[in-house]
Amino acid sequence: MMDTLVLLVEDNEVNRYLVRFLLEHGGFTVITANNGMEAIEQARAHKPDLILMDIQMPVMDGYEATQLLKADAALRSVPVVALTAYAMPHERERALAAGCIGQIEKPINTQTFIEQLRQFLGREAPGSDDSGA
Amino acid sequence: MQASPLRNLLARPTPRRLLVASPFVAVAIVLAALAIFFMGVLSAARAFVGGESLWTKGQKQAVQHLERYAQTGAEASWESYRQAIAVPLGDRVAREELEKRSPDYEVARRGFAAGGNHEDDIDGMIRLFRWFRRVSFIDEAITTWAEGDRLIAELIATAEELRRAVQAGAPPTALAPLLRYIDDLDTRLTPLEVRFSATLGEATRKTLRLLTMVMVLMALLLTVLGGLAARQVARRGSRIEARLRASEERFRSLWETTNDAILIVAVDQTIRFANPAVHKLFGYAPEELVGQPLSLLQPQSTHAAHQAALARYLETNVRTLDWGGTEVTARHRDGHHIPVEIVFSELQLEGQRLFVGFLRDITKRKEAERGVREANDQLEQRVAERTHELREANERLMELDRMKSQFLATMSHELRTPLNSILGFTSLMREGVAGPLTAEQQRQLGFVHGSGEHLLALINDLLDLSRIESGRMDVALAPFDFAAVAAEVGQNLKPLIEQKGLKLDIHAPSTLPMVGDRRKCYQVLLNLTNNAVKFTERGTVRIDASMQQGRLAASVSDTGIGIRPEQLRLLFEAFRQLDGTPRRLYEGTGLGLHLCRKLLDLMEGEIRVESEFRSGSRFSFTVPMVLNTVRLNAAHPT
Repeated sequence: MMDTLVLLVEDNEVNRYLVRFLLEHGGFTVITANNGMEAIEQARAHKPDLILMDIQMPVMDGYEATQLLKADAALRSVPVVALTAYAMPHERERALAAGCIGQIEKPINTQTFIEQLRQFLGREAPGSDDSGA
Repeated sequence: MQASPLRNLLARPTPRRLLVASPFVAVAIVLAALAIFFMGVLSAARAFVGGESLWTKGQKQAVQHLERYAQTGAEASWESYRQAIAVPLGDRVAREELEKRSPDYEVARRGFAAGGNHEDDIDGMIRLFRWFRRVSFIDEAITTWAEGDRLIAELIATAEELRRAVQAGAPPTALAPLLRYIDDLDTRLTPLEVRFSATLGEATRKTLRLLTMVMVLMALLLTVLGGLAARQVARRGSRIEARLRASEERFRSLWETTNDAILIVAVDQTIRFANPAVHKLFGYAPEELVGQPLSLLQPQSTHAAHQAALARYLETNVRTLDWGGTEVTARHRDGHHIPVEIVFSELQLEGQRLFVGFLRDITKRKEAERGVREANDQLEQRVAERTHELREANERLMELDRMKSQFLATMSHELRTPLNSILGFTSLMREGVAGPLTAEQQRQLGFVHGSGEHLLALINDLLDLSRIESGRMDVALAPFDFAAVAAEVGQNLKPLIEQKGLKLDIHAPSTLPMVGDRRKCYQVLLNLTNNAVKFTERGTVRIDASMQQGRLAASVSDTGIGIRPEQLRLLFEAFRQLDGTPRRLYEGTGLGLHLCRKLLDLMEGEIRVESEFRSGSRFSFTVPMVLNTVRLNAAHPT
């Protein structure tokens, strides 16, 4: 699991720290981005195995970023999991429509978080190494 | 006008004429009948008198023939006697027959015929005899007659005696007493014959007097009746005349005093009559208008249409205008146009076809109508403006509502973001991930975490409520197992329940498959169970779930502090916590039960509560096992 690369997209620094802590504690390698725009750059540069995408962010929100990722032939196969705050109506539906394979609700339950992530990874085989340029 | 009273009388005369004539006819008929009857009586009386003279003649001749027979003994004289005496005998036969209760009229008729009476008279004689038998003078005449017949019988008997004596060859001296007796009979018969005739003569005279009297009376009666009838007719005539006069009076006053101008126009559109009111309307005196064409009073522009409509009407009887009242434009003498309402009718006067028009100036009415129309227009404009304002206000409100929702969503997100790290890091620290904690640190971090959870619940409840209130709460429709929901609630509250030393019992079938919104069902049950745990210090919290009549019936019972009856109705209202004491023992948003009811409303569910103060409460709710999408959409349009 140490070679599983997760891209964490989160604008709030403290939360980013919390989730990064949980992920690294859970044995994942983590790279981060502050918004959707950075996320796309990072994804292109590192081809992560999974992207954890916050939805409400400045510059570019999670929906738009996910749509752009899914439109990119090289990144299409990277699974995106949304971090939703249950704030906006139809949040979950919009996330799925944008191309996310699932969502984790905030506030994060620290005890079940890693288990939830593993489930998403098990469903979607990591394909960064398989995808062609 | 076409139904004058006089015409009326003439139009239906038959019954009335008969009624007036009937007494005269009756009197005339009675008079004729009486005349015929009395003539018959008189004729019969005359016949009886005639018959009597024949009778007397027969009797006298019989006596003469008998005397001659006594002198000569000639058979021819005897034979003559026999013929002469046959006359009174025949009459006798008739009389005797008619004296019977039910006589044979044929016998009587033959008897009278033998008595030498004329056959035309015989029936009258029989009638007179039968009808007036008991009338005094007839009775007297007949009694006289019977007396005469008795003497005739004696005469015949004496004659037979004489004949025997003559045939025996008796000497004339022997015959003398017989002849004397015969002479004596003859002498006795004469006054009887006179009396018979006199009686009948008297009867005839009396009858004549009676007849005359009756005739006079009848004439008088006819005169009186005729006088009465004449007076009646005369009186009726004067009544009709009075009525006609009154009618004419009324018409004249109407004609002269009405405010409506009345024009009577011939078919060729020449004005024939005009009433005084035309002056006020048109500026012409009535006599100025008579003989003028109607077009004088019509604006030039309307002439063609008027002529066309008139021609059409005269040809087809189809009315182009409403004769009961039509608004047209008329022209005043000075040329200005007047709005006029006109009512038409048509009449026949002395065989001439005329049109009558009643014209009324409606200038004022038109002005009033225009006023009303303008007021109406203004009103409509104001309504339109107000509608526009309302629409704008509504749009502003909707915009505000959108802004409120956006604000709530943003606030919720902004509040959750720090909560995410508060709850996350306290959890991590309590798990000892970042290093071991003292017992006191563990305890204090527990408070921080609890407060964070509470704050999160508050935010979630507020957000849910605001969504429900603005109709933005969606209801999911997916299959799920309520038994699993109940188990999950139990699992979730397990730490709290154990901490308070309570017991949780779940009574439910192994599966309770439903179609609907799992999250909301979970929220309701969690809320109710959480409340039960919160307000119970010792004992058991019990969850029951089953299917009843196509609905899920679930309940949460506790052995807690219970609720006062007067507080039960406040229970489901927002921001109510029932503990009225200043020191609040129980934490909570005061939104939980209100939210439960709102969520159940969305799912066609119902909630109710039973409670006994100080011994426990029981909250139960029902939801359809399978939510109906169609009804759901209709009830909560978004």
